[in-house]
Amino acid sequence: MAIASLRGLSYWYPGQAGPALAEVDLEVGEGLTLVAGPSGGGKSSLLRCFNGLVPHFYGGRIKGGGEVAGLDLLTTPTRRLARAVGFVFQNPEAQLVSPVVEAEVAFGLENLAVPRREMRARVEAALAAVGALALRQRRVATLSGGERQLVALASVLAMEPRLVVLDEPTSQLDPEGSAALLAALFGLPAVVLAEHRLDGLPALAARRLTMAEGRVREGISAPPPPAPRRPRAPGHVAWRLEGVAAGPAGPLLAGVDLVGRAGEVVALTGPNGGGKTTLLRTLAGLLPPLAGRVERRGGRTAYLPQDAGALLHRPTIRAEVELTLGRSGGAEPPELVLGELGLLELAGRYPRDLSAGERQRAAIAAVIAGSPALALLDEPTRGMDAMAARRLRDAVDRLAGQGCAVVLATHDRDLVEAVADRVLTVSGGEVR
Amino acid sequence: MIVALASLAGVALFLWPYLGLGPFPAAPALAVAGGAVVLLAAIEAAARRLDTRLLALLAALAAVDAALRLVLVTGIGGFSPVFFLILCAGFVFGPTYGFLTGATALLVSALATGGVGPWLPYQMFGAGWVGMFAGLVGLRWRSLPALAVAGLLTGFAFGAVLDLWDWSYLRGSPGAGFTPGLSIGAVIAAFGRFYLLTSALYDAFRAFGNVLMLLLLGPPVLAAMHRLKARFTLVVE
Amino acid sequence: MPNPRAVVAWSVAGLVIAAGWSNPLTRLLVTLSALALVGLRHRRGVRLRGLLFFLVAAWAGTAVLNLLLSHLGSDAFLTLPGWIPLAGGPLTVEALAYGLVAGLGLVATVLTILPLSVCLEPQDLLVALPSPLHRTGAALSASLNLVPGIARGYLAIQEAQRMRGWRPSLRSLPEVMVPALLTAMEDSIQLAEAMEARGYGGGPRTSYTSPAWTWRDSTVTLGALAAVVLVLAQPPPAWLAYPALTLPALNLAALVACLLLFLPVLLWRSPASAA
Repeated sequence: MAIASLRGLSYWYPGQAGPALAEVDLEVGEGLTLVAGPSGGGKSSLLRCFNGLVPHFYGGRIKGGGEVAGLDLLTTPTRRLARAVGFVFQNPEAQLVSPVVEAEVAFGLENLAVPRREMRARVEAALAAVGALALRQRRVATLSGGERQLVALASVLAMEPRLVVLDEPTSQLDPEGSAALLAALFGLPAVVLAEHRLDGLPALAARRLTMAEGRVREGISAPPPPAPRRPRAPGHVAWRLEGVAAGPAGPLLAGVDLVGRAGEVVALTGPNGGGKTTLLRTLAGLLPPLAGRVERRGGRTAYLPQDAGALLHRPTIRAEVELTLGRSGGAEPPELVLGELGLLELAGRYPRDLSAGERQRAAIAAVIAGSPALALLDEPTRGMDAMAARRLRDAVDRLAGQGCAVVLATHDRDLVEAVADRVLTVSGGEVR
Repeated sequence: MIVALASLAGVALFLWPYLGLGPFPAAPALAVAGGAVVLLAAIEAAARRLDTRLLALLAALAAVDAALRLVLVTGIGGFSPVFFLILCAGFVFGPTYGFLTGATALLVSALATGGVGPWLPYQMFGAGWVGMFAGLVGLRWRSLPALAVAGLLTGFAFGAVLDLWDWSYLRGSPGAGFTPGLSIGAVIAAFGRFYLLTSALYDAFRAFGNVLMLLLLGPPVLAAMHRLKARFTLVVE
Repeated sequence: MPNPRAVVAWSVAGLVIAAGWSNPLTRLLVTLSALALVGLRHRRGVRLRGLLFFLVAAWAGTAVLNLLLSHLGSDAFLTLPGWIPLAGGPLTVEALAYGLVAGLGLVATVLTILPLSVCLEPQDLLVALPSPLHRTGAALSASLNLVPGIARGYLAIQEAQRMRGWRPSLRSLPEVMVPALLTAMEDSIQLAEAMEARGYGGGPRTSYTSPAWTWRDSTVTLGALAAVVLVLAQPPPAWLAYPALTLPALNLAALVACLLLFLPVLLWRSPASAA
């Protein structure tokens, strides 16, 4: 029997001419329903219909209708639908409300006016169900991204919903965090999961859907085969670290000796908190080394931080790219980098109206425009689908071909395999 | 309505030392405590009518000031970036929301930076009125220059209103202090001298800082607020 | 951990005494009790030095301002030339003394409220808000949760824009401020979305946590209550346009009220209550 059904549903965000959802007819039942598709294709909008965030939270224009657990989606407010549908969001930083983990898990129960004694039992059961009972007394501010997502899932499970919906919950996690979260999903009665990096998930799903351009279709197509690698010829020494110790508060890395060449792509891997970002920031000159020497050959350094979408502030993506080009004094047209990253059609849009994946690409374009001599990219494929990751690869290839030295920190094995000339593991204060 | 009533209580809080009412031993403490209670009640009553989105925006606007105080050197003179946000919020979302933003922003800053003191209810009323004034301006004029003028005026007015609190500590000095029994004109003249002497320059930084912030940062921030406002309309076909 | 409501009761009592009696001795006792409490029980990461400096400066400032502006009293020790606006005229010992007492009142009032922000975690203070104020509590709590993220985000954006060629100047202020503000607003809306998705907004609520209340908290609260009663039972002093230069007497009731303020210093000091 269907838990949720959408009938002829079309939806427009406020001020947008094109629909985000176009005549969607869909029934969701028990088991795992996997939703794939390109970034900006409507996955997030579709998922938000199930608990009424679309349209009640976002406003805009809607046509058609739907039901979840017998409740009408257009007339029931989200806070009522929340009893039937639990929702885990993409961003681990912006969905937790309380200072302490157990209070966080209890938040939904407080809203349901569950008596205090019953709450304690349900909080405990929910934390146990996701394998996070040990986190119970922790301060939320001290949790890693993966732990936060587990707590978010536990908070939802405590409310005992009929359907659990997760919107790209692992896109900002490292492989261990992703695995722990996905493991916690099995055994739940009904789950809708949107993901763009699939890694074996389709085999486990009861149902596979693809969302593209606001339309839903059955099945998930296999990702395109990786393009052949282009050979590279690294040139002169572009950067050098000699006996470097570094860290934002005390040494996180020590005794680092590294050399990178023009036209060479170096990948940094290793666990979160191991020092990848510290190494990039030291190389960028943002973090003065505590000991040793950092050398860079002249020319501009491009630096893509984590959560890069936050730096966008101009009215259009094109204006963002033009800002960087104007500063770098380069003569290349903005279309070069925009086209390379598949942003030509979006060039006139306000960056903050876009999906997380599109925004990440916009930030990359804004950072690498203008032929930098050194490009430092921190988790560049975060939130990106396979197609976008392919485009990033092309951009990195082009930069390296122009003699730019590239260093990227990433968990993304596909990216490492496709572009890296050298792989370094940053872990436990060492670089190997 | 709620805010109008609370404001009345606020006016009483600021003016009572000057009304020549019989002195009562615990009066200043009771006034501060009473002011705090009225403010909390007003914030609660207004916040209960807010949609979750506006409640969260309120939280963010209130948090920005405290966060900027943590990472930046606190402003020059009386300048503080918080007024800019209070002005914008009132201008877009109306007088009640403006008052709420002002009062809450000062409260959060005080909590986060350990600056809770007896001046807090006074500051909260003052900042609340700044937001309320921007809201009233926004009901009538919708242009950025109008908001900039409101920023200029409230920059000085905020300082002057808060001086009423300081001033009650300067009882009895002729010329610039307050002495009970003077005519209203003389009281105002004395206050004017006190204000020019102690605060006018300091407040100028705030007033012109507000104008500068509004002109430099106003358009994108106001646009973002209007985008949020657009979410409050839903058309079902 | 002292219960926040007991700390509130203590602060109110201190405030009533400090502001209610202009006697310098009671103000001094209130100041000392608050200093002791703050000194012993402040939470980690609070920088007290700047605060104390500010208090001393406020005290001295009030005294100097009063000395210069007020020319009442008979014991003049210096006369400034009359052409100096406002300050010109005799400087009197009475004016200085009055300024010092008024300044001490200011210092004492500030210090009595200080433990609320310095001895308690802001979040715990909010948990103690009575349930009719739950909307306010939610807004303040969400706000305090957002503060560190916004501060970090601001620094990260500043770094990233610097690498794109941004240099600090007034004209380029928007390049850091605008993305930081927009990101803070976006994050808060995401938070609102998460709250709604978990059933927040309207309707009755229950509450999961309530801070522990111990006998120490009861004692402190009763002491504070007694102190307030003692103050309010005093006859109002006659209004003096300006005080005479005599040290006022300290009656028994006032002394007891002030000593009651030292209760938390004794009770909340032990490691057991700090746990």
